[in-house]
Amino acid sequence: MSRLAASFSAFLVAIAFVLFALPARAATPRLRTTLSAETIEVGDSAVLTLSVTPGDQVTEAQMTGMPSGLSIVGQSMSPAYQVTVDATGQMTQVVSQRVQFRIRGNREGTYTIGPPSVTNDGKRVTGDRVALKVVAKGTLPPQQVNPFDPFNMFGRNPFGIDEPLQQQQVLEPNYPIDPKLSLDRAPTSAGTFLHAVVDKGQVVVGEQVTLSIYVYADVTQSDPELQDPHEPGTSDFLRQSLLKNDQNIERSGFARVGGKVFAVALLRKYALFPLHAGELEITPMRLRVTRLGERASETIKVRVTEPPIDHRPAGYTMGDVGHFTVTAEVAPREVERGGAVAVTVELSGWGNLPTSLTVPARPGVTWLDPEVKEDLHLLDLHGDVSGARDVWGGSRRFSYVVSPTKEGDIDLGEIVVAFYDPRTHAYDTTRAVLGTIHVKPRALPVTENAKLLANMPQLRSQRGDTRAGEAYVDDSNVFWGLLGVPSALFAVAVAGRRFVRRVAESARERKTSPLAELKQRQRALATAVEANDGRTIDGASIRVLEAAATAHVGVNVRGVGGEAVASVLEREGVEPDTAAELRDLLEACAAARFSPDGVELDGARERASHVRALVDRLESGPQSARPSSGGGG
Amino acid sequence: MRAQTALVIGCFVTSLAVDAAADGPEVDDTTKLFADGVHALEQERPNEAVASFEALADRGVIDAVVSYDRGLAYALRVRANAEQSGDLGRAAHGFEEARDLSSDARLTSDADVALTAVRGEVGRRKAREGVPTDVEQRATPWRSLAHALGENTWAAFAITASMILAAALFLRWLAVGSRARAGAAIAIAVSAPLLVLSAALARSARHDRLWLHEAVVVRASVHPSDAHGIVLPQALPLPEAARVEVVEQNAGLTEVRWGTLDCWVPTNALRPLAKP
Repeated sequence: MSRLAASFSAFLVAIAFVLFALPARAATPRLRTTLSAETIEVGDSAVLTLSVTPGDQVTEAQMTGMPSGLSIVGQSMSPAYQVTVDATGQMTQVVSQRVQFRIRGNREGTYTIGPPSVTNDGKRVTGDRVALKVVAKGTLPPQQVNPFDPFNMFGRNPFGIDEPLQQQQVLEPNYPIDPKLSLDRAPTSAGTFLHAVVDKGQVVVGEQVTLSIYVYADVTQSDPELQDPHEPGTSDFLRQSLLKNDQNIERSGFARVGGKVFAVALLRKYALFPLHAGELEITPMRLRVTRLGERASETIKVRVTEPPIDHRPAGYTMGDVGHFTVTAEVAPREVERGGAVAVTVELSGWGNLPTSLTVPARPGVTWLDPEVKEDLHLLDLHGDVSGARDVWGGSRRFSYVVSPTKEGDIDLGEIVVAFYDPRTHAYDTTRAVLGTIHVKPRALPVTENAKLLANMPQLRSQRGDTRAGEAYVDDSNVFWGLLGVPSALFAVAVAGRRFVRRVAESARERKTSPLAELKQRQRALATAVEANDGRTIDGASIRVLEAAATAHVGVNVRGVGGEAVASVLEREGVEPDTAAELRDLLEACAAARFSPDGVELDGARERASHVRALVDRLESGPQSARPSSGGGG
Repeated sequence: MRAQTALVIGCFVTSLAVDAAADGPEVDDTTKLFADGVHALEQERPNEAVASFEALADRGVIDAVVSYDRGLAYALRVRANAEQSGDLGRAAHGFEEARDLSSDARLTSDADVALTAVRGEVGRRKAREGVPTDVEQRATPWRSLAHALGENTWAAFAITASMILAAALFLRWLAVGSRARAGAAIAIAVSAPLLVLSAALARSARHDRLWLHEAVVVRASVHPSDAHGIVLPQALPLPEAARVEVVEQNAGLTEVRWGTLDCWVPTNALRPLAKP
């Protein structure tokens, strides 16, 4: 990580060069001499660069003072143009000239080179001397992308000038924008962010998905020092790195993101092979950017399905996706019983190569576990083999020891590998025939394993003994209803019978009650009043009074004569006036009814009216059963 | 006119032939795979047989004979000294499935014999490791009773008991004679518990049929863990070829019940049993 941090420190310096290049308006040119490497190996070369600003009058370049252990193997001179606007809005075009000498180291030693010089406007101007150390071949670590300059800002200097642009605005920066890296908008507002991308969103189990994670750094901001990286979560995938060294940051170019220019570097590139079907998640890669806090790449979901079931060959193992070829060697072909035969199987191709093979097992032949060696790597960057970039593949070599335990000619069978080719969306198989070996006799005891599971029953060669889907009576709600219905019927019958009995009893009781009789007699009185028969009216009035006494006072006054009626009623709590009135009405009605002169109709109706009023008072209870006129007495 | 008629008939026959050809490979595919598997078994080529029978399983073929032969193929691979880890469990799975699916008593009996042999081998190996284990755990008495007579039988018992109970209740209610009333009381005393018992057993059998999922352990040794995958230190490993009840499935882990043990195991250590 320290290298990573150092690389971004260097990047900061580079950004500073970009931003603060001085305007080249001075009369005398400014020169800067740089060397691409301070130390090289014998046979390698370094580039010495002399930048002249302004350089529009430069006509010639020379290198003097070249030591005998070094030689110039190339020289070039190229102009760079820049349009700038100062604070007042005035436009200025600045031309700088860059002269480069490629110097090869022929012998070990430390050399002083130069100074380089150019002819500018007819005058010779010289740069600075530089020191170059040449060491023996193999002394330096393998040359990689400069880890201190992941975005190559040191060497790039897109404006071709070395001085800062004080208070000037760049009108048309000449960054080589890569449209493939450009984005519509940045995921974060601050200058540095991570961006993860996969080449496919939907694959089958075992098909390669290439995950690339880039870091984007705003070229106008500074100090994107990266620390504490956390790898993306890919637990549902088999992961293989497609970069030679994950510790190095690989410069990818420049991109335009939301109108701004970003330097882009490739942090990680993985070949991912899904282990199962489903919507699999790749969790973000995280790292810390100094002063900007934590940055994380996007969460990516990949939809993974199983390869089609149609035409899937027998023996296909889920995840074997790609294109493979299998070859095999068997040696020796003749061996004693119990001896060893070496069977070497090489599986090569691209994709998710199987980690194990299904060997053609036979009774009498023992296959020991193989020794596996593999050579898997990034196959072809330009799609020559598989039609796609960044393809993982190579070969796996399985070395088996096979021991025959029976004599005679034994056919070892063949190794068959079935795979699904995502390019053609079809299954295919590759096979290697192992051929026959001859096993000579040898005195060896029969192993105990020969008795293992020896007495198994016979195989069946005809299908069709499977139970059909049965119908179950308890799947129907009718069944559960039937369980309860008989008992419920009994309960209903019992309850119904009780209900009927109760209703009948109630009706009977209602029919024989004093109140019911009173109402019946009141109806008879009303009928009699309408019939215009005085005797009938008086007879009905007497019966109403008797029924009222029974119903409301609980006293049967029938047969009780004269004064006794009043006293009986009074004993039961009836007001004396009411009792007397009832007695008087009874006597009046009886007298009129049995009068030899007949009954006067109006008198009978009036008595009937009094009877009704008295019954109403009795109905209200003993306390209120008082004549309205004599309430106070 | 005759030519037109002949043309129409020709087109019709051709379309039928095309339809038949389109339907053909689907039928032939499983038939051919089965024939290939049987042939490979006869030739004692277990890997080819396993491949064919597994391809049938991948195609969703549920067949007692296919399961049985698949079990034999795995057993043959063990016998041929080409055993791969979990082969004994897969063989047991095939035989268990055949036993569950088969309507043929002889096939069921053969599957029982094979299953006993496979589990015997597992037991021998465990004993050799010093871990004696009973590979087969008995079901609870209640479940054994529920499956002893079958779901429809218990349902028929329940219906019958219900009818008898109702009749006895009416008799007890309406009869005047003391003998009839005593007989009705006895019938009530017998049929009421029988109704409850048989209905409960029918319901239990139905519940198992609809909701019980079982699987066979197809890994040499599976260490029981809790729901978070932390191995239970006291629990003995589940033996290969054990038939377990699947309770619940989680991401990568499955809760299983085996005898009195209730634990979580990796899902890929189990192979579910098909149902008829």
